Amino acid sequence: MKLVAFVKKDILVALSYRFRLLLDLAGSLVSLLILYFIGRTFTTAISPYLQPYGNDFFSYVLVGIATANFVTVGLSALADEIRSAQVQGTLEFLLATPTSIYTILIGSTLWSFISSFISAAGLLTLGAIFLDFHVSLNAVLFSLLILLLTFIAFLAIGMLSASFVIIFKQGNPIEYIFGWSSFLLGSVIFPVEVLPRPFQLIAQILPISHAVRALRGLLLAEYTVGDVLSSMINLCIFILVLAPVGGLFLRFAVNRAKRDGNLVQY
Amino acid sequence: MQNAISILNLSKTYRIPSVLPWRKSRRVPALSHVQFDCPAEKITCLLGPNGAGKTTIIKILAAIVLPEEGDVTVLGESVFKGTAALRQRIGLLTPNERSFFWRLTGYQNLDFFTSLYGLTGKKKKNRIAEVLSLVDLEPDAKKPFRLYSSGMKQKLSLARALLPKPRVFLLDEPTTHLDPLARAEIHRLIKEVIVQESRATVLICTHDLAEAQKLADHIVLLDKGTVLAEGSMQGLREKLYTGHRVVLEFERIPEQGWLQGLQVMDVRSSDKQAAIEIQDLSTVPDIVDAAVRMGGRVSRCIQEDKSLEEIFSDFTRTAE
Repeated sequence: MKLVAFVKKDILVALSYRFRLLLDLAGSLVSLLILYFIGRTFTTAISPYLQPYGNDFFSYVLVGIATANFVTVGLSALADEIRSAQVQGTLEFLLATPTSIYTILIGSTLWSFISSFISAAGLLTLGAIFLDFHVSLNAVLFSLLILLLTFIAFLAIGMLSASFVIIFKQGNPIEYIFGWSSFLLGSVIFPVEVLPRPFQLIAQILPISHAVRALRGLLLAEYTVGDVLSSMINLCIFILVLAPVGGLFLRFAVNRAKRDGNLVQY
Repeated sequence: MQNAISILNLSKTYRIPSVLPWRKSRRVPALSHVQFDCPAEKITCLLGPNGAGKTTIIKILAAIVLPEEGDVTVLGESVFKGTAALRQRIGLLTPNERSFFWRLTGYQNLDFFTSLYGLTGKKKKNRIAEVLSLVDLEPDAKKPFRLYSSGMKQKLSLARALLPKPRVFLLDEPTTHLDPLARAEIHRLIKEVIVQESRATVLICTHDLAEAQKLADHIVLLDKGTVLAEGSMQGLREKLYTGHRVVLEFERIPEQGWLQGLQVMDVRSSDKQAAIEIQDLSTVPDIVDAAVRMGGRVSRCIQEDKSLEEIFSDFTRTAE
């Protein structure tokens, strides 16, 4: 119920900024149109990398961008929420309630995830209705499962990221490293296969590569669950490795900040 | 239980990182071997100037800051274990009005925080209605917090602290920035609602002596991170100041050195007036005699109580 309270509070806060909501919506629509017209530019070009996905660049990049937006939120939401709670001054009181730091952190980021999920789903739906985005509806359920695994994997990385914000306040290397590498190497806009071999190997240790590959396979290439099973297993391995590490780092950071007395400083 | 809060040998330093990365950070002492108790169901005032370490003690009690040394128990449980059950029994009021969500209404803020205290459904609604009624904020509950006056914000802070029906209240500067009427209202709420009705224990941090005088059953005088003295207001007064003050007003001022040979503790002279601190009132006739002998003409001699502000500031200066 505490998590629901966080989401409810964040929805109320978001609704109180109506103009921003409107601008976000307009920005998403403009991005969608830009991607669509880039796709139209290359309609007649045939790329061997896009052939498994119907040689449709728009559909290819739309799934990539929708996933990347979701992942970006996962990476930055925890750290952003901590910083925002420090700046706003709410963190101190939240910590004084009988609520664990983990509940506070996850609760504070849930709305960001839900809104980015709604935004991603909205982009895909609008693309499907108006802009010839071809999607296999049968795969939607498993796509949601992959998104959930991606969410948990990036939440774990987010805990590492939040630990840096708690200790160093500003300057968060985790966000830079995973953010940049995810966009560059994660096959978000272009397939990683066009990059030199070493980069392709590095891409394998990024959760986004597996998430995007599985989602594109399910939504665009009518892969079966068996075809994306290896990607799902890889995401689970990421979670098993990253979640305890993230949790330990976070506990260390919170205890250190409590000792230094700067938990709520920014 | 006799003491609701026990603080034993508490020391805390803050780390100040060096601007130059190759230099070691330094540590600034905030508390040094602080030790005192807060009697149950009474109001204890932690009184001291800015930077005395009052807020650090509140933060340690609320388990937001960890000390280097010492032990702190609230209701018999160590706060460093940080159990949810203990936090459920502590109500916190901070002077930081930014600890609320400004875009939400007062009611929505309380709704959120009540959920964090584990209340749901009808129980939650009833509790919010109860605390809003206690602090008399029902008519303004649906207004956005950002439109609240300072007094309303402070009342909502108190309402929030009341939410979990705590047994111990930690109130850090509860009347900062309030006008006299709003201060009186907050004082009434603390005395009547928290202590008399709820029979809870209160620890208030303040630098305002009048506030301490009005509210406190027990005072802990803190300066530069150390406890200088503690006790009731009257007890402290007797402990810190054992003398008397006599003020002589002159029509004609006596010659210099007229007090030589007399047992006086301190003299402050101004134009045609001398405020003399003495240990024993029986020396007053000798003082008047000496003034007359040295050419002075005394128009008035009165005994004046030293104000508490003076007693505390003198004591703080002496302790330095």
